[in-house]
Amino acid sequence: MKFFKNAPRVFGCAAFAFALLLGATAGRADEGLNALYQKAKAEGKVVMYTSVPTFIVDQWRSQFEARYPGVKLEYFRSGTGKVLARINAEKSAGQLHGDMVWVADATAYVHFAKEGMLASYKTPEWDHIPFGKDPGGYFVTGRFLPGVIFANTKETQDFPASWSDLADARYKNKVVMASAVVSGSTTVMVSSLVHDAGLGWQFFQKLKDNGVLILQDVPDVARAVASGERPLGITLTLYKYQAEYKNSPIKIVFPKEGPILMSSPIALFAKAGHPNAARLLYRFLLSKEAQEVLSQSGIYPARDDVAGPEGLPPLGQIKQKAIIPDSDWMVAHWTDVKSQWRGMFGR
Amino acid sequence: MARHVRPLTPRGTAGAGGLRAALGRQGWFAPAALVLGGGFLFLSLYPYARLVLASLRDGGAFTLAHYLNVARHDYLLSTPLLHSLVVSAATAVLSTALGTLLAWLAVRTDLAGRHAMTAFVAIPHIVPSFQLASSWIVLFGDAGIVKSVTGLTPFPAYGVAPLVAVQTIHLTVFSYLNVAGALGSLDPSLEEAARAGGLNARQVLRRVTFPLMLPSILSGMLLAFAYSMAEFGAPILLAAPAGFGTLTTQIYELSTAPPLQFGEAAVLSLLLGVLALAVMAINLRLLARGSFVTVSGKSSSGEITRLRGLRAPLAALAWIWLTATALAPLAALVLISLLGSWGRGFGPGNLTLAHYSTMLASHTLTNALWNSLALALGAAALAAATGFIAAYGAVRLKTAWGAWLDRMSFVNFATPGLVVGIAFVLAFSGPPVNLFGTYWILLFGYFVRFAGLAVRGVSANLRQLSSELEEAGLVCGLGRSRVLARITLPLLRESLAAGFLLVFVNAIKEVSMTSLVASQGTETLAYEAFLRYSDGDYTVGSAYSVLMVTIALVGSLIIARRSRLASGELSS
Repeated sequence: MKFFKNAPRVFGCAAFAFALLLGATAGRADEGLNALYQKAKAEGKVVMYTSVPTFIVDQWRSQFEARYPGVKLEYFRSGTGKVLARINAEKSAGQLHGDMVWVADATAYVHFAKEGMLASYKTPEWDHIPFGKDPGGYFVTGRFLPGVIFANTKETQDFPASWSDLADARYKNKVVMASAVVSGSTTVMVSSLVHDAGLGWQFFQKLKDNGVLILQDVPDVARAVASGERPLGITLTLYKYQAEYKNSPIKIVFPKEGPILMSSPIALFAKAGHPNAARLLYRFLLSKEAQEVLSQSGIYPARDDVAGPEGLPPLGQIKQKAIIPDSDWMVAHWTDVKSQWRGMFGR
Repeated sequence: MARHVRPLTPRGTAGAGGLRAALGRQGWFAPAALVLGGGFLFLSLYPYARLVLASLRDGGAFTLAHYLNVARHDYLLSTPLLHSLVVSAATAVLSTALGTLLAWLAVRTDLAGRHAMTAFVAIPHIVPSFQLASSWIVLFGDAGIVKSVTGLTPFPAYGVAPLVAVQTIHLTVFSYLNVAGALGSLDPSLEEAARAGGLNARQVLRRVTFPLMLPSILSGMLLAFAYSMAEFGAPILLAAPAGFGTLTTQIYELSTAPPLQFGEAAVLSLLLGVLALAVMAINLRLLARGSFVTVSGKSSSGEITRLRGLRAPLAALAWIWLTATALAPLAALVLISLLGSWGRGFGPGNLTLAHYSTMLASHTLTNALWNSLALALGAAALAAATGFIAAYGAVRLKTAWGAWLDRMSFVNFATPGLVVGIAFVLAFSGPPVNLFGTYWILLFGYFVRFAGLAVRGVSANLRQLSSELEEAGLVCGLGRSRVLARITLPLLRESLAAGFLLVFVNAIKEVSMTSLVASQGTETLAYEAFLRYSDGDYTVGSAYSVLMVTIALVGSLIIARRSRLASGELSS
């Protein structure tokens, strides 16, 4: 009897307590961000080491510093290789100056994690990223770079239907690509085509026999195709969206197997000088605002609730039919891939 | 009244007044030598020591694994080494031949327009070599300007020949400046005596002038060889697509392409250093065989050879070559900076000033401009001063420290900028000497990397000056420092100015070391250009390059004009 008289009160208290709890956990994401911001303000700045194009990082800097006044974004930007060289050299010198790293080469992160250089940090933003997440929380995809075929429409209308078509005799002396030894993204693409797409090394032997031109890095390939030096090239989608290629006669060809979907992860350094500011920036870079900047520049954002680049199929569609590089295989075979390439192409 | 002849030692007797007084009597030379020379030795040896350590360490343990690894693999050592040696030797020989010929034409003949020659020879050096290589591809490639205008491809775009051609054009200035300077200060009494003895002009040239010029010619050849060995911008663009690499492209790959093989990169870099020392030793051996002393205080009157019948054809050939090599790369560079979109031809419809607007709107531009100028001028001043001290110490005083300065400056000159960058990060971005994020790390980096240019030129010039002039000064009662200031330095003016100019130009356009060592706020114009290039943004990058080249050009003209470089005028 007593129970039923007090039930509404008990139930009400329970409901209220539950609502409080619910409200607390739901709001924790924003509360956490605010608390993080306050701690970051005390640190004053964050230093990012990255290979993301400068004009994108500059946009992020304006947005970040506007949203979080008092926290400055400093960055060291260079090619992936040089950023890694500097990190390595600083580590040898005994003092790492960067707080976080974002380069195109996914295997570097596996290496960093093994050396204990990274900090584990899983955030609510991870829920929006469909794949490419390290189970230990040490790194997560920040952007996807699809490897595709560029075709110069003024020089040719005969587009390859699949990746293996590129090695066809009718494309003799018409193909250009970057070196798998120098260009990190090309190493990933070559590994993927050899292993994950099952084309094997014979594919590249045939390309070589057909006189494929090997340039240094993927931007050079984009230039070579755009200028008409070679009508077909293997490179990344983002170059078509750069100012000097917007009106170039380039067509992005998605072979029937799909593009090679490479993930470019983002991670925090364990011994960061500004750990809280770094976390703040990390969360910002995975936020909708920052990820939209990527779309506008022809790069696929990691988040599935942000639209992909204009004119390209959405990520959800590509994901179903794409060549996804097997990171574990790559890490295990990285040097083998390079030696094979070297043996085949001379350097 | 008879003059008391003082001994040829510093004034006063040692011991009177103690060490401090003795040092005081030395004037400025000793402390300057200590600060600059000592500073340079520290800045060059300490990073190198860290590099040696890196070659012997794997993780924490000491090991010879990197050395064994390098020796074991052909692609790491023997193949690229062979390519490097062949390309550099060819470049050295060709550029020296060209430079010497042009210098002689400029200083000793009545060739039309010879007073403007220095500028034209220097321009291809002011343009960074990777730009020259890019311009070559833009001009002669399958999608190039020459092909779109004439339908022909007269020269291959990639391969050994283009690489040697581009580097030769880039480095002709070394021997040109060295030889022109030496010719300008040459005492012609030996030549006059030979003519009086019955030799004709050609014989005099071959048997008297040319041998006397040997130190300068060798100096220029050495510099070109070392520079070419350390180059990787041009080899990567021109040689790699043709399937071959050099030691430097190998070092670049080992240290920037994952998995990073730092140890092996360090081993190859040390090998470059050893090669540099070997080449230097050969040079010294060749010079030790004779005396090249020419300027000995007697009056000189520059003798001009009249070209007569050969005047017109030589002028035509020389000026076609000079204009082509100076203007074509500049034109290609400017064209790229104005290009609207790739693949739509090079006509006026596809040209735009948008890239310049983008560059001018950048908030880092003024900072980069200021940094470029200040760092380059600072490094040039330090290098010229150290060049003098090193040359004097090595050639005149014949001291061990002088010889070491000479060696280390040359070794660093033969070291790729990327390696100097890595060594500097290893040495100076953490304790005990932490210069991270400062301008100093860049300034010292340029200083250490390029001082060799000044040291070589001044050494060669000093070898030609008889010590009679200085001894005369000492006899008249001047202390050593006064002698240096009032006799030696003015005689060395041309080579000092040439050294200053070369270091200024090289520091302004330096990219590989800068790209590793610069931090936010210490970027230079060349670095901003490089950033754009590596983003694939060639057009805006070229706009930055055009600005950088313009500033370097203007700076060079001012320096050359003020020191009346290679104008054939007397230097004393």
